[in-house]
Amino acid sequence: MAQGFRVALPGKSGTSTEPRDYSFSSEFTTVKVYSEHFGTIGLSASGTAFATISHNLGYVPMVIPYLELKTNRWFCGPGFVSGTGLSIYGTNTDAYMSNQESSVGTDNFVLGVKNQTAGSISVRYRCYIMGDSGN
Amino acid sequence: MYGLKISNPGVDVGTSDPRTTSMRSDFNMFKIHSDGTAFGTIQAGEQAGTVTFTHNLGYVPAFWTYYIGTDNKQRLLSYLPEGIGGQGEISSYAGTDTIKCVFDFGAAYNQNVYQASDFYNTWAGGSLLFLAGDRSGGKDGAIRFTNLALNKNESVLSAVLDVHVASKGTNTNNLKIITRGIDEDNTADFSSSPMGRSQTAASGTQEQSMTSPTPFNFGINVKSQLEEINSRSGWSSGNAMGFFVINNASPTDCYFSDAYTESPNSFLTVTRQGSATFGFRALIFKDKVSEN
Repeated sequence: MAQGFRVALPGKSGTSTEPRDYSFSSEFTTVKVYSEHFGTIGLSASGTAFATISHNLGYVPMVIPYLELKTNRWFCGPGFVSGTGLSIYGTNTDAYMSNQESSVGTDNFVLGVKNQTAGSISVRYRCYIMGDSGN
Repeated sequence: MYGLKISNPGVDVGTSDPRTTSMRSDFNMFKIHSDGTAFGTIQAGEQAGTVTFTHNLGYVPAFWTYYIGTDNKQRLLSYLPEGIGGQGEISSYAGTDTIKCVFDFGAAYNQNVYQASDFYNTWAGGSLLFLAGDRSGGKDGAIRFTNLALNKNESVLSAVLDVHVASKGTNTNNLKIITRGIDEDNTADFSSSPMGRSQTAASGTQEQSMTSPTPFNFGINVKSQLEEINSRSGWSSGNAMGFFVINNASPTDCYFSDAYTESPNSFLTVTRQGSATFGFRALIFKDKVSEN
């Protein structure tokens, strides 16, 4: 390793070549949380609603969304979203994140959520905008 | 602003681009709370199983979960609507103390439900009703099922004839019946009377309450009869199987009937042996997802 900075895990050697022995090593890009966003989306019966989260990074970042799709049940998105996004969908949940309505661009992340119930509901979400590229 | 910044190799540490820094103290990083695997089992007849990872953080944490397939490959969740290979619905979700990972087949595992293909009864002499008991004297019935997914000599966990009672007699004392199998390799349809066909030695004697208002269902255990038939030398999976329900001195005007023309509602439910094991990996972070 050229000059750099490493922090070994407890009980591990600072000269180990095993990446899993380090909590940090400047050899490896670390997935960094650029910003966190918490909010609530209100949905009409069987309706769709959106949250637009600005990041203004100028590139498409990784996004990790978590949504409370049923009371006290938080679901994680698949993790790395680029372009038109990925779906979180559960047949027993009150709502789902729609891959058709959600997208990540160079300046914002649009989170589209669809209500699966016949009444109005609110869905809480937390989105992590990562500092690392998603495309 | 004071802090710590480490740039990627070859990159000026003065860069403001987050992509070219391996660490910046003004950017949070996910901190691992725990990383573990756990396995569960779904028994035959059960529909779903849940594996629970306890974190006891008191708040909803960020997490990633993976489904561990029988190929030992890990698939990232939180939701696989068609599971793996089109079987099972797999999902995971977090609460304030646990991560729940669920494998749901959508139907009872290793269980097949067969709708009747043929009825017969000795009261009307025809194939429109499945009937047995005392209706103008003792009457017997027969019922047939096709395309049974059952290997030769296969021992099953259970086999239940689920009788749908669309109508009944006026006598609400107990119906008395004996059930035997049609002892044939691949019993033919009931376009002609099946009542003279051979019967299995295996039988079941039963008294059934008839006090419930119609429609209602009751079950007949036919496991031993089924296993006698599928142990025949000529049995193979996909064959048809039938059963006789024979009056056994039921009280006068005490009988059941299910009408074929009204969409037969009598079924054969066979639960085969076996279980399915499923596994999950949960990577739980100390970082909070929920506001509270």
